[in-house]
Amino acid sequence: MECFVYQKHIDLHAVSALEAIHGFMNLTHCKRLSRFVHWIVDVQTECDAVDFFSMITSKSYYLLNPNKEGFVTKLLASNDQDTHSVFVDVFPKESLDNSVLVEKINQHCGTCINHIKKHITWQCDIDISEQSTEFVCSKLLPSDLGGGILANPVYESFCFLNN
Amino acid sequence: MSVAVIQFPGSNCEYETLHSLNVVGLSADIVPWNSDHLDLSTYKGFVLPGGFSFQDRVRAGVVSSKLPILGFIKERALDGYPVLGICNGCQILAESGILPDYNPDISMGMGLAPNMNEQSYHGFVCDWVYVKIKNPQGSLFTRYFNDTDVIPIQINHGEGNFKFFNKELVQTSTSTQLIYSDEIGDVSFSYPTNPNGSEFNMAGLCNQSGNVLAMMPHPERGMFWYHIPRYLNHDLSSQRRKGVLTDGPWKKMFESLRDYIQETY
Repeated sequence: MECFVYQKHIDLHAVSALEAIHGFMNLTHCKRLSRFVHWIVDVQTECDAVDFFSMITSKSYYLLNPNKEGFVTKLLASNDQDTHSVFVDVFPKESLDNSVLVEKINQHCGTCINHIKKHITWQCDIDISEQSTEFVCSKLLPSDLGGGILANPVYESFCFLNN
Repeated sequence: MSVAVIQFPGSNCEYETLHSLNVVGLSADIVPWNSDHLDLSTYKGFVLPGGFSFQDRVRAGVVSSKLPILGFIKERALDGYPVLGICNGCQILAESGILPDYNPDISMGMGLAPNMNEQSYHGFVCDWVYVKIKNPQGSLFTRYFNDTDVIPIQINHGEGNFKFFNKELVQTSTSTQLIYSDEIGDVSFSYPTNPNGSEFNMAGLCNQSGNVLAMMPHPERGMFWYHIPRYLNHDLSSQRRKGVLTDGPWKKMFESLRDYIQETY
């Protein structure tokens, strides 16, 4: 089960990343950039993802703060016909121990979560004149030519997600 | 003979760094991140100070690393000019790929990951730690230290966990490295000796030519006698308690930079 947490008003990480991409890296084909905190939850019992995350959100702020953040369980591509959305999921190479967080959520919300992982998902809306995935791969992500900006090649990995 | 202290949006240690340079007799200016390259061409050294440039958005140092000024500093570094990155400056040098320079085919050889303790994020750390310097003679910044010195210094960061692309190259390198140790110089990987989970207990490292040093601890906060706290289990604290301490241990780093600039330019 997974959810994608977004900022309801403005995501300053995404704003600065896009400023850097446009202003410092001179890559204007990236038209918009959005950022989501991607929670991947392994639960013992089957249930609807929206109901599950709504219940956790109503009882705790561990996954998101509903005063300023919202969540979706499926990513949606941009409606803009001039762009194509590419979703990049960035995560640490080392596996992290999130057992303290799992224990807290289970205690507060009465859930039966086994494991939880936190990734960052970037939605890159790329001008359709570009080969969107190739553009993201070669310009915004680490490659032989440079470090990119959306992931650090030394301690982070990434993969592409389908919307 | 001036040194440029580069002020990024969110730098917060530039004035202490400037003062440290001035006290040892170096003239220095705080130079904004968006200065024209011509404005920078007269400087003989560059310091990237600590702080939170661009609020550490995306990752610490990554937005600053894309600035045109980093291209200029990279050229200057290759030309042999002294470049010192402290804390956020260290993160910027890492993200820009200026350090390490073990393998020119690798565009980015190290990263500063979030602080870790075992397999969990450890959060922000603000504390006094100890470092030893491996091959101090290999860097123009550390040549007045000895490899037996155990030196107290302050750290103040959330992303200071050195990770290396090629660990073997780091292990076999003879370039200068700052290594976290305990107060008697023993190097163990466990917290709090290693405060953030850095590979090889790395606190800082220099390029092979010895003119570019990136370090997470703050030398400008160990510059004067009154910087050293009374409570450390270290000879310098003991001297401070007795009222006989005259200088901080890191003054030598700035004096060494001053002497290098005077000898060279």
